[in-house]
Amino acid sequence: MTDLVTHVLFAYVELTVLAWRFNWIRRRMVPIGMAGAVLPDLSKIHVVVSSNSVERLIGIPFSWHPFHRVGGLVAVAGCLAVFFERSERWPSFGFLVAGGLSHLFLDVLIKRANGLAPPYLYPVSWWRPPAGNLYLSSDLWPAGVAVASVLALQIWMVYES
Amino acid sequence: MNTSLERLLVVSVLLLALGGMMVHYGAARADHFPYTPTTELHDDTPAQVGATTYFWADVTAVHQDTFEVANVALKTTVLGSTDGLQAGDTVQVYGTVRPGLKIDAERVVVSNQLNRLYMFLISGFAPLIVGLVGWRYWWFDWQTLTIRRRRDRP
Repeated sequence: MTDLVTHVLFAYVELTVLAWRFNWIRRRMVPIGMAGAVLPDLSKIHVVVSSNSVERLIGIPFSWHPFHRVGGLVAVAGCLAVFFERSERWPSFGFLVAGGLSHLFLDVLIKRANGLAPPYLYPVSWWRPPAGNLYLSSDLWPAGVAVASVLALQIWMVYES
Repeated sequence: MNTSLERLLVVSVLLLALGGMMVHYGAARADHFPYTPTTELHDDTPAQVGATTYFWADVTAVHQDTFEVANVALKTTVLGSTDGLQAGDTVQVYGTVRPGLKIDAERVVVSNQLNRLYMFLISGFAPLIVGLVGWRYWWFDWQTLTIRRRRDRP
């Protein structure tokens, strides 16, 4: 992950720009996509309870990683989508997944010593995409770019209105 | 179908699938991880020498041309550049296992301790931002436990 604020702001910028271009993307779906961008980092629960601890507790192999994979993202998005009013369920599900995918895309670009990103497509595939090696997850500048993009977007929207 | 029952059914099926993936991933990960995992580097076994390894670890000590890392139950000396490296930093190490629990690092990626702290602290604001933006367009109906759109917003 880059920091979570960068993920959320990136989703905000991309969906706001796409909403200008495509009329079917309603502005109300922008925050849903932003929420989706948070979902893969549910895997950070391992900082509190490690996979090994759970494994010892239940006595079978276990990993929190699927939260940070396509399969877990779809499952969690589905769980959340059913809490939306009926007419908004499928669009909400779609934008939650889209936000999560934008998170995974940014994570593919992270520097990896082995040159390969994790198998984000699991359970569809164990394929490891080549890492973008653009930044560290703890670098400050991606957040700077995200904040600058949001500010530029806000100024443009005020100018346009 | 009753909305509550429908939700319960959908959420149960999805959580079951999620749990299944967590167990399957834990069981199958080693088969798809092309490197010697750190959990197998506890003993100085000749069988591991020459194997390629890749892991994340916290730096515990830095010397002239080596540094030590602790990872779960592992304490390993890594041979490689120590420029700018400090105890407490997090490293990704990709390299070859040498005798004496030493890793000959081909590539090391360093994450500064303070930067990582920043990452975790700033990340706490993300749900707040989502909540603030989301509140403009949505509201939560506590009666029916449903997220509803504000009709005056697009």
